[in-house]
Amino acid sequence: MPIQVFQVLGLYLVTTMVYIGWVVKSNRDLDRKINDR
Amino acid sequence: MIQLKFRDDIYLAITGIIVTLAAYFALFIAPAEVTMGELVRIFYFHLPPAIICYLALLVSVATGLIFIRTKDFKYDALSESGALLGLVYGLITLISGAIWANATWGVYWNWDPRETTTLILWFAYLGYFLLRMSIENPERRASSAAVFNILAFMTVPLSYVSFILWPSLHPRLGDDGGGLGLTGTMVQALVMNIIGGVFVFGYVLKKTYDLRIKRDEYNSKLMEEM
Repeated sequence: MPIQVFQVLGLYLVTTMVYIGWVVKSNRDLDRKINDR
Repeated sequence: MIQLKFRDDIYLAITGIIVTLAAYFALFIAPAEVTMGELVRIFYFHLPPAIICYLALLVSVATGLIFIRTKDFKYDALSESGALLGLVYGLITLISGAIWANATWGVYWNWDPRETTTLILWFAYLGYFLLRMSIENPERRASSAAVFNILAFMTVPLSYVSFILWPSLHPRLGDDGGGLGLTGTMVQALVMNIIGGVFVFGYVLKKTYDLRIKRDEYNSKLMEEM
């Protein structure tokens, strides 16, 4: 299997997972900040 | 009364199963293509983010238009969320396209009409965020962004039809002139990856929208306290 296939799959999956991680964490942090006030 | 509640865990579990199955299908079940060989598998992970990019920008422009009519800031939040996801998936599309171009044409970037118009699309939406950042008044910011969005969205159909308007090396589906001839299992792998991508898009759009709404709520609480 050519390496480029895994490069593209990796790019797609990693970017999506990093985005999901960021957006979920930011939501949680904001929930905490809103509740603290 | 029955209440429907968005369950993250169940939704993510279903999405995970679809995405895993789709990736397995694309990597191991779908056969190699006649002219591109094994490299065709890149296509299964390049087309879905491109479709999600277009879909996100469609959501963005449509909700921007609704904002202009209703002046309801929830639609502005949804419009901004869609534009952000359009930028993220547009970047994945551009980079994965460059990797594919290098594998098939021997060069990462050759100003092909599809590459060029997608890059213009990406910069148009980068401009959308620069515009938002430059206006402080929330109502003016939302209205100006919605109008700018209509202009920026014109790059979406331009990018889509670019390889019809100008001579292009970019492969097209069902093309009899050297494009991609996808057979039964290949089409199944492609459709599964598109469905998986759309499920992920649904989740990230909702979470991005929630984040935007909460930021507004937090900022208004801060203002009240000052």
